[in-house]
Amino acid sequence: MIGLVDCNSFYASCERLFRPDLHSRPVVVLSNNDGCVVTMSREAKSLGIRRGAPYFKVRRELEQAGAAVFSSNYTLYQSISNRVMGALEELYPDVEVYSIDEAFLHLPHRVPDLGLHAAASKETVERFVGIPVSVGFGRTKTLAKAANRWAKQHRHTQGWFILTEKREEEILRQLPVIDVWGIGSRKGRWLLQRGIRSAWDLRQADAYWIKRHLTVVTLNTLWELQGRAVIDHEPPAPPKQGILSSRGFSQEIRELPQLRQAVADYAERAARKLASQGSTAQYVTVQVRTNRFRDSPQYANSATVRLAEPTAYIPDLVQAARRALQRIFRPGYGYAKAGVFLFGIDVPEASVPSLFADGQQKKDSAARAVGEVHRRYGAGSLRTLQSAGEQPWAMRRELCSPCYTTSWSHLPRV
Amino acid sequence: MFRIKSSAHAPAVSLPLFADHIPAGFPSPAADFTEEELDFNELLIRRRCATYCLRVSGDSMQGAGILPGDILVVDRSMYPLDNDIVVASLDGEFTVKRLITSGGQPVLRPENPAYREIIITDDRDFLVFGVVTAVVRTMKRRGG
Repeated sequence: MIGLVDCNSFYASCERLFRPDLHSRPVVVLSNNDGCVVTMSREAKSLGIRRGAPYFKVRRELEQAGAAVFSSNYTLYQSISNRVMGALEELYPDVEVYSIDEAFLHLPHRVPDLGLHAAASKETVERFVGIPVSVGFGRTKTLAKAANRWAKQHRHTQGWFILTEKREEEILRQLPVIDVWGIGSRKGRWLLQRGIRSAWDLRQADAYWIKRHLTVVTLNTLWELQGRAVIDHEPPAPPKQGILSSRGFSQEIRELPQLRQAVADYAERAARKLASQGSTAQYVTVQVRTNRFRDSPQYANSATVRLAEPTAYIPDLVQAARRALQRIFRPGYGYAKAGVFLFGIDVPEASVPSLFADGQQKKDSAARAVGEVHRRYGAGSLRTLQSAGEQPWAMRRELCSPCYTTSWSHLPRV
Repeated sequence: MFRIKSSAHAPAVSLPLFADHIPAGFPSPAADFTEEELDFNELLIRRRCATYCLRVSGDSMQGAGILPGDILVVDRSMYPLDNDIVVASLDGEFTVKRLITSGGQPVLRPENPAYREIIITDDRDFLVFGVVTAVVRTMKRRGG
């Protein structure tokens, strides 16, 4: 059997973890640049606000309901996610992390007392980490997803549900085809138009017909609904070949100095990540582009600079990014987004040459000191002059919570 | 290649250790006694995924050696027992106190005569966040 453990309103639950004052208040988390609602607590859902709603449209309603609103704090969410996965890994040898808030558990075929496993995995994550989860078991991943959904939607399940073969017809008949894992709205509408309304209808559909019209991906879904596990372990992610820091600006940038500052900031972000992994990079690529959705002159370009030596020294990487930007900047455009990509990643082993290259050694120790400052006082506490100062273009994250678990200066208070 | 750890102030430096390739040298008499250096994580963290750190702001537990500015290491995986020091949420606020469960109703007991015991009546919103397993305090020197 396969289990799916899925965190309930994950981002909102993370925001609540160190805020006991929010335990019964509606909590909402916004997307990048505080654009729209991405996660809602149960209380917020019951206000009738939809996921994806633009923040400015629902702002008033949220205020009136006394909702707590947060910008996305991915640092916090990733840290809590690691804990959720860590707790599951203590219980089961085969945990497949599927996303930031979901994991599949692979259990041997005939496990007695599966209900005990479901209840125990739920209780353990909730007690160890403090994040509520739902658990569903089924014969395949797609059925485990369906079971999890059932658990989430029916309170009497107490948050876990075992979809046995016997009950598959009953449950799948009540699952709209659009909500089947891997179907989505486009395929779902297409199926609806052809009279396939529920997961059970899809399971009865002709395999050949499905494959011809909706490719082998949907055929796999059909088989999974029938109980044939065909969606395998995802291949493990390849080791990082490069580090990308890319994001849109909260307002257009037209002038070079400001674009330079933004690119320096992104280069620093990428370089900090690089340094914290203990790796070096030899190439720096800078990309810029205008807003594709705007009816104004369009431009997009990128350039790559090769460094003489692989390095993790932030000022060198920022300088390289500046040179790359210089090559591609064209005046007269409104830039909407930039990205800095570091590649040619290496993990230096012995520092033999550095014993003789005095300058490099100084840079190494400066880099270590900077790394230590970032670790103690938070990322970005020490910056280069190029990125320092007001950043009017910076991503709007006005409502961001502290990084409770990753920065000594942000610890929750008691 | 070996990793040599230098003294406390300088970070680890990797150097090629040529000694083990010199056939004429004597092997180090200490080689058989090599063990891992002390690791504070091992001392302070029993279960990483269930451990959180919180900063103390009040003085209600000074009698237990918990002072303002201290960092509490809190383990959520342990079931709170009678007389444990716990972090709990009480009516929407975190508090650190000694938990007494041997009487009828649970009691949160401060360790400072200036504070009163809190009896956890049913109308209060009370939840144990975790059990305090360690206190970390760094010493400030006058010179900064």
